Amino acid sequence: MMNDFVRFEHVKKTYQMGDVAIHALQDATFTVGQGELCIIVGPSGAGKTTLLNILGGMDTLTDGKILLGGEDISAYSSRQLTTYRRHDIGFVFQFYNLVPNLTALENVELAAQICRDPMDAAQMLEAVGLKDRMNNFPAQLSGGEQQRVAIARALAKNPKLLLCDEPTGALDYNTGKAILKLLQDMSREKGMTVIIITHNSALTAMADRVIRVKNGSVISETVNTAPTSVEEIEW
Amino acid sequence: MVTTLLKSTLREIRQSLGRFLAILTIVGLGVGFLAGLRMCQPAMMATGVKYLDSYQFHDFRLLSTLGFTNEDVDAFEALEGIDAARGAYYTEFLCQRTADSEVVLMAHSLTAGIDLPELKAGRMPTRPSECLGDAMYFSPEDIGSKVKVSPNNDEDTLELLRYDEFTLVGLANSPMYLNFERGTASIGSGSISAFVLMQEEAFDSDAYYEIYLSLAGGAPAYSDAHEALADDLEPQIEALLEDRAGIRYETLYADAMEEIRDGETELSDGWEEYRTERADAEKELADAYQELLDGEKEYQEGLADYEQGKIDYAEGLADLEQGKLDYAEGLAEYEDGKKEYEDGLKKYEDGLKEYEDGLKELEDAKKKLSRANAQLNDAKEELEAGEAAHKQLSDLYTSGELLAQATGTGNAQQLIGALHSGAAPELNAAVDHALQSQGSSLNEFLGGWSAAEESIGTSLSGEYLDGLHSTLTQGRTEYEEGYRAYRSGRRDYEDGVKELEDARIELEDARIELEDARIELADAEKELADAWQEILDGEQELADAKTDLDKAPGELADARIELDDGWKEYEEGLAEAQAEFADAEEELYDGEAEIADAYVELKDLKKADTYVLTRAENTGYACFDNDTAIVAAISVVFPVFFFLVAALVCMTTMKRMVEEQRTQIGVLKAIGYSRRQIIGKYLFYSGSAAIIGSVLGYALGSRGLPLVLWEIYGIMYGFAPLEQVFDPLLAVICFAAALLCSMGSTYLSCRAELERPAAELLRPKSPKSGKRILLERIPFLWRHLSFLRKVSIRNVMRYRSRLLMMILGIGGCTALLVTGFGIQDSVGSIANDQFGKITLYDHAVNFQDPQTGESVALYLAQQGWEREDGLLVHSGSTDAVSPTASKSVYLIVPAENTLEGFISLQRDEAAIPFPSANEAVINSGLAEDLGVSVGDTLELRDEKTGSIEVTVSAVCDNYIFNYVYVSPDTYRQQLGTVPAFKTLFVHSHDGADPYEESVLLSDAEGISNVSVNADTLSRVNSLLDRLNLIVIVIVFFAAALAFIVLYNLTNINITERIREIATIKVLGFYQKEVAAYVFREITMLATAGSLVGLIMGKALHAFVILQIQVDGMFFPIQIYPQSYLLAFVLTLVFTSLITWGMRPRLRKIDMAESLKSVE
Repeated sequence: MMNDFVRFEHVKKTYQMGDVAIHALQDATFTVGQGELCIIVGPSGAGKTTLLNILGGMDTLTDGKILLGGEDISAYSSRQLTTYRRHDIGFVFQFYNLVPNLTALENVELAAQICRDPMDAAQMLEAVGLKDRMNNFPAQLSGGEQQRVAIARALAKNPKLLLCDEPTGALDYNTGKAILKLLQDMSREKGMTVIIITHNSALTAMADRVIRVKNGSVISETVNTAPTSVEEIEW
Repeated sequence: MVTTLLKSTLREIRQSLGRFLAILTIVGLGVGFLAGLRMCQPAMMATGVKYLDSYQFHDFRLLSTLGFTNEDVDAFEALEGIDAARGAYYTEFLCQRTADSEVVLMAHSLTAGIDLPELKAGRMPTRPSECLGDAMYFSPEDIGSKVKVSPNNDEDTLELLRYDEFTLVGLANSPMYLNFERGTASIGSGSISAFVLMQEEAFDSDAYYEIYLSLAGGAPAYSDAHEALADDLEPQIEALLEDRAGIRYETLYADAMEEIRDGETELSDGWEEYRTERADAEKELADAYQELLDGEKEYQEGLADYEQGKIDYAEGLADLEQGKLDYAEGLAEYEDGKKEYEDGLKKYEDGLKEYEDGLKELEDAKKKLSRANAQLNDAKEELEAGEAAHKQLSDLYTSGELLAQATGTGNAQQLIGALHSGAAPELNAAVDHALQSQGSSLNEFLGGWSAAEESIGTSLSGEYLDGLHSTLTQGRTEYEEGYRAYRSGRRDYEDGVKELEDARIELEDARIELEDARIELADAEKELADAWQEILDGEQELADAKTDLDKAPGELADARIELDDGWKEYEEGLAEAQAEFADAEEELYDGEAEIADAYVELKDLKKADTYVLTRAENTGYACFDNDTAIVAAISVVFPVFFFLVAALVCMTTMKRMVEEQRTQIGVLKAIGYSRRQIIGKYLFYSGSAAIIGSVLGYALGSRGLPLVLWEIYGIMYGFAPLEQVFDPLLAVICFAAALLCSMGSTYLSCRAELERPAAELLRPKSPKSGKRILLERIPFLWRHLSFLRKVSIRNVMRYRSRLLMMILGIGGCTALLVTGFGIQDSVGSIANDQFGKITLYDHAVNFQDPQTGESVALYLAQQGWEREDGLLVHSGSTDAVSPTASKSVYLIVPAENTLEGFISLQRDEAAIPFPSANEAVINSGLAEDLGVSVGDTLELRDEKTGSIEVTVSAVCDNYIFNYVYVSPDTYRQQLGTVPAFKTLFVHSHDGADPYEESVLLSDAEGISNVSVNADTLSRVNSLLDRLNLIVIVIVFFAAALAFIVLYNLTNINITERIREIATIKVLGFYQKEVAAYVFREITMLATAGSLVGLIMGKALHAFVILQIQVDGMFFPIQIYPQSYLLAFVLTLVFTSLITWGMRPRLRKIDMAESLKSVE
């Protein structure tokens, strides 16, 4: 297990809004080990999303360096970033972002179609417990189910890294818990490196590693040697 | 509406300007296209009407084969309902534009108050030698130039036009020539290039050629009122025309009779004049001949002189050479003579000198002689003196010696010595006594002695005396000798004198001789000098002679030329004179024949054929009506598309907008705005777009489109700027339609949404469920689709209104293109099919009298055609009558039972057999009009010849005019007469200019006219040219339609699916894949729409073609496959242009959108 599978080195991101320079990230440095479940936590506006965007190859950084499995992704061109997203990153959105016109299976296939070494879409859906809803359209699924489809879609690409942006944000407590369980299981059982972004500090207990962010800076990086199972967490 | 809400709405418009503009544009296009196309015909018509009325276009044109007089004109003017009648002239004539090119012009006389020219430049003619030129042909630079009447015109034309050339003083349009066609000509190139207008006085004719009438009442051109007025009056005009023609005939007959009489008188005068003039001319010619003969003789003499001169010259030259030789000899002789003379002179001079020397010698000898004489005399005297002295001395001495002996004293000396000494004085006295005895004395003795002795200087002694004596003796001898010498010298001298005298005489002779020689030499010299001069003169003379000789051949040649010229002139004069005689005679005989003919003609003088031509017979007037009608026809259907599409665009756009602003509506509702206020916002949005759009569309369309079309038509009808017409009803309809389709569709699409309670609106809308579509029920097909396609297909099917909008919009675009190209195909195929496949002959030669196979064979041979290139037919206008309808048609009856090679009887490319007895083949358009089909009976009715009943055996293709083809047997059997075969169809030679050939074909006796099919073809082609431009306008509108629809749909698609697009971007779709994901459905829709459009286009094309009614032409409903293909491809090109243009929009979509919550 690589200890610094993901590596942020003095990452800086500044948005220029007219005359005002907004420092979304200032000197963010941390590492995430391979197969770890890492939770990045912080209040709204702390720079979590920026961090995720940059790591997810959706945005570029102003300064610093990001390494994923030794690859310097901060140096990537726009097209390389697309390829990076295509093959290395699985993304789980807060609002699931399923294509409404495709069935659950098709939504998974949509992602699987474009990558080199995809997992079987049906199997992935089965893995997230949606074997019976495979042919339903998103509108016919509950929020939790949709998020499962989204996770299946992210995992079907067989990514190096699963990025989850407030995956439970739009879900009720129990469903959210189930989703988190699913993610923890993925990490535990399949050795998937999972990074979850949340503002909910209660979730940190389940993580292997917790990175706290505030005002665009990493204020602490803790390795949790004995993470709690999701079922035991209450919030 | 509340201000804040208004503000919000305005801001909304600003923020979604693209959407607003889309509605505005589609409404504008719809309104513009509708208003524009609807207004084209009225605007053009108004322009035409205004033009025709203001330039007093004639209402009737009357023609009579016998012409019209002023009385005729007055009679028509007096007719009730006629405002004015004007007599006029016209003639086509060849005009010399440049040295070697001629064009055919049509000259018209200007008529006061009717057919006024529209002066475009320059001024009106003020004198008969001036003219106005066709503004479509002449340019302003031509003003001031001459319009030259070519001498190649026929006599009648040259006689009719009073001047050889006319000064072009202005350019004008004429209502008589509303469009660009100037008509065909029977001369020159076969087509008229332009018209010229001149004063009536420019024409020299005793009768007007035509009368123009204008109607009272002033009904506008093309109006029903005008037509009614004209129809009412036509019978009266026809009747009056008949009357007047009758009167005209009578007058002409009387006039002609008188003219013939005059002609006869003139002819006899002519004969008289001819004879006189011929005699004069012959005499003149004879004189000239004699003069030439004299000249010839003179020339021969000159020639002989020249030859002689040459010989003389040669002789002279030889003489001169001889003379020179002689001279040289003479000179040599003279030189010898001179030398001889000089030698003689020298000898003489020597002789003279010798003589003179001799003379001198003689002188000297004489002198010597005389000196010698003197000397001799002196010597003689001396000798005698000496001898005297010697006797004295010897006597003394002997007396002394005798004394001395006597005395005995020894010798005389001793005695003298002793005596002297005195010593012995006895002696002295002895001696003295002795001496005194003798008479002397001693002293005298002794003194004598001493004197002697003194004189001799020596003592006197014997010895001395002896010496003296011997000396004397010697002297004597010497003297004697000297004397002898002198004597001989004397003789010599005297001989010399004699000799000299002889020499002198001799010299004298020589001198005289020399003198003679000298004179002789001087004479010779002079003679020689004269001879030299003579030679020089001779040379000069020869040189002069040479010069003269050298000059002589040139002079002779000149003389020859002069003579030859003289001969030629004479011959020419002779020939000319003979020709003139012949001409004159011919003329006179012609005159006689003419008079004979005139009698015959007078006998044959027919009553006039008269024609009443209405406005409809004026090409420009009729074409204008037809051409404007084309536009009116297509203006009905096209705009409907635009309105339908406009409504759909509004609907989809507003629906989308309301959906987007669901929350906002909820908030407004929650705040307490009424439903009406909220819906008002959206109605305002679409309504304002529609109002602005329709105002712009109406303004631009109703004014612009007619202008564009007028520009296009300007090639034909450039006569006036377009009259803009405002049609309030149309404007109201346009606005109403625009508002209805925009606001109506807005209302319909918003109503449902607004019905919901505010709370529901404030909640995010549950995403619209994906639906299984029909295709999914066919798993076989569905499974074979990638789900990117599946997504696209589902999306396509998801929004029905968008689908409809796309199908209609894109389909409309394709349909417009298909129609546009199809119109070209239809009209173009007339040209191709009619003249490439059906009408195969190129000329129709119409004879004045019926022809036979033999006569046309002769005619063709004369004009340079093969017999098989001509087909003799009967071609006549007749009425085809079916039980339901009647139609004027051309009846074609070939002389043989075939039309092959000249007219192809065919139906859809399949050949049709020539009709057998009592059958007829008719064209499809006619069959349709008459409502007959194969097997039906048809009556061909002709008032003069009678009726023919035929059965329709087949229907053939024909696009220009209606034709019925019947066999000659049918005609003969049913009418009992042979048809009058007056028309000959002729093929052009390969590559020959048909117009030039038509002139060639016209150039024979008995030809009434030659019509050229190329003329009709060019009319069709010019129609095609105009259509090409209309098609461009159609393509533009089609493109605009496609762009609006595509833009709108793409726009909606993108804005609606920003989240989805952002998500697939996050999923790692490349730019191209994203574009394909979004645009695939656009392309699918466009393709589907375009395919539907092809079908719509076919229908639309058929509809439009049926609307286009051009007189006598039937347009086949034909669209070539390539037109379909082009329309389809163009539509797809428009689609790709739009999608290509929208790509940056996709690129700009931020992936962060995917993270946002659902609105």
